[in-house]
Amino acid sequence: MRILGIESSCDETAAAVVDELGHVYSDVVRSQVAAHAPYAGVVPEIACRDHLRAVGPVVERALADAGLGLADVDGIAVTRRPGLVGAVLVGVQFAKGLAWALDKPLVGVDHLLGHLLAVFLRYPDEGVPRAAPAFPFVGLLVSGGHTALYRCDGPAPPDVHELGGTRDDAAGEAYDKLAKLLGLGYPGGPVVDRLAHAGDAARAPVSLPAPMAHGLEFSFSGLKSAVARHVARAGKPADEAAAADLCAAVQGALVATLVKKTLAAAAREGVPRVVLAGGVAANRGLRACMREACEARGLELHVPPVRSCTDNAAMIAYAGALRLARGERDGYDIGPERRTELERLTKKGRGPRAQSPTTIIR
Amino acid sequence: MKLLALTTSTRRSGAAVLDDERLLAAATHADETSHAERLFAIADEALGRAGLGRADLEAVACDVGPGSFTGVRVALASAQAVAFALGRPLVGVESLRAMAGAAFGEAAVGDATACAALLDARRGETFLAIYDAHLAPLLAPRHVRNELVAAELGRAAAGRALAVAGEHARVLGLEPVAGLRLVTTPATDLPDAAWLGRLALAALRHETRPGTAPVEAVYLRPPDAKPMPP
Repeated sequence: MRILGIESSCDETAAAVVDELGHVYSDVVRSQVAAHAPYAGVVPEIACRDHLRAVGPVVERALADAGLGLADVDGIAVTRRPGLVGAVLVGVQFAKGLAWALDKPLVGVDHLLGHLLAVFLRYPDEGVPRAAPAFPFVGLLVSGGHTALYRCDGPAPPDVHELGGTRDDAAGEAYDKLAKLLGLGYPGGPVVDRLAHAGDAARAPVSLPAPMAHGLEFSFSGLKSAVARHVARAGKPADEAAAADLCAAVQGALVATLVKKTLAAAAREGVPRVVLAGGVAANRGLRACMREACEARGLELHVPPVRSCTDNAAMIAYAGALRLARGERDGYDIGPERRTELERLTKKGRGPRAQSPTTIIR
Repeated sequence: MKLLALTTSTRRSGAAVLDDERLLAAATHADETSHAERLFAIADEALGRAGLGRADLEAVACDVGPGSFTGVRVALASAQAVAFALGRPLVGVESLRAMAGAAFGEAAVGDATACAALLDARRGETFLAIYDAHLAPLLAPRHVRNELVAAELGRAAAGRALAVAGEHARVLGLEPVAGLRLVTTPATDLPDAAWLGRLALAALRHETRPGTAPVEAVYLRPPDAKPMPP
């Protein structure tokens, strides 16, 4: 069963052909990052316009790379949620148009579920075969828009339970804001990671708060505020070495929190397997630190290749293939949705805290 | 030639199926919040009443705007995909041109030799264009502050009779004075899929390699965003 997947939920237009075993036949990603860079963040209307221009050629290329015509695919999968509604809409309408015209099965896919299942993708040019994780596993999903820990008991949405999410910024957002404060450009993740590698956290002229939050929840806005206060007081770092030291300190604090909470989640759930997912899972600091920590605790760690961590359509096609294999399909009346369909625990902002195991009887 | 025409750029979406000049069937949906969800249902409704299947289609036409940015993308993303999947040409038609085409085609313009088409551009503005009887633009599509529309039309009319299409003219309270003739039929109030289809078919007859150029959305306004100060 070969499925064409389409992804347009943020600032990448992507299409891929994948089967229900996760074999990737083609994987095309067109990034808009240059279009958004002058604004230091994703501008929704710019994203929507670019998706509309790109989606046709990207899909055509994915089919050509797979050596297939549209008539040869067994179904169409598309990111339906969560994301920028106007951006998701372009992919959804395009996918519906393809499925409608040729009467192919159509399935909408939750983007976050796609990320959590990306570890099952298998590329023909991968050297050493990777073992696939067994269920259940603890998934740490870290990207520009999302940061949360999940317990995954299976590959369907009801099998996935959020253990804790971020109460404010996503980890990738924290990187972008740091890079903006230090004048390092956009996006922040890769440049901060690179500088952090060269820097020394101990030399950083600022003491950073541990980005802690209740239980398995995350909070990264304090880190950003600490750096903002430092820059307001002392100015931007004088040279690249000083910036690198600051980046090393921030990345160290951020990664330490991500690793600590992931280990706590695995211990609490009694699950010996950890899976990394999302664009920030491409971060070398996080990969190295998580690997070391998991080895020390005897936990199995599964890290997908970078190309399946960042936004892509192969993960969407795979999650869609699993839906089709379960006999599910959607009608032409599906539309884009802002929020994930996965169960959520953490409310952003000032909502009630996640349920605590502690009960205080007054 | 059997053609499917789609429009979702305004509060009234529509699908029409034509066989050359003949309208076989059309369907509309009037809730702007659910165009994306309903578009293929109205397309199926029109095809069903026309007694055709999806594979019978030989061309696709689409309203490319101006109109609601999101609305324009609903039909254009869909139409691009349908044309690609069927291997058929896609023809884009501007919303305002379809309205003027309807006004001339339905002989609603009286003795006017030019027709202005107006759509609500929100934010206190109007999308406006003026066409001659051959639908060549006398005033290219633009956005104009609402309070300046009457003056703009008066200047364009310059004493001659000018037909004005679009329900937005009534919203603006334009008076049928100074040579302005307000056209008020359903097909001229908002872009109409049947007239989109007719204009697209005419374009297909005149082009040498029809439907091969990429079809671009017509937004008229840049995205709302300011670059970060250096």
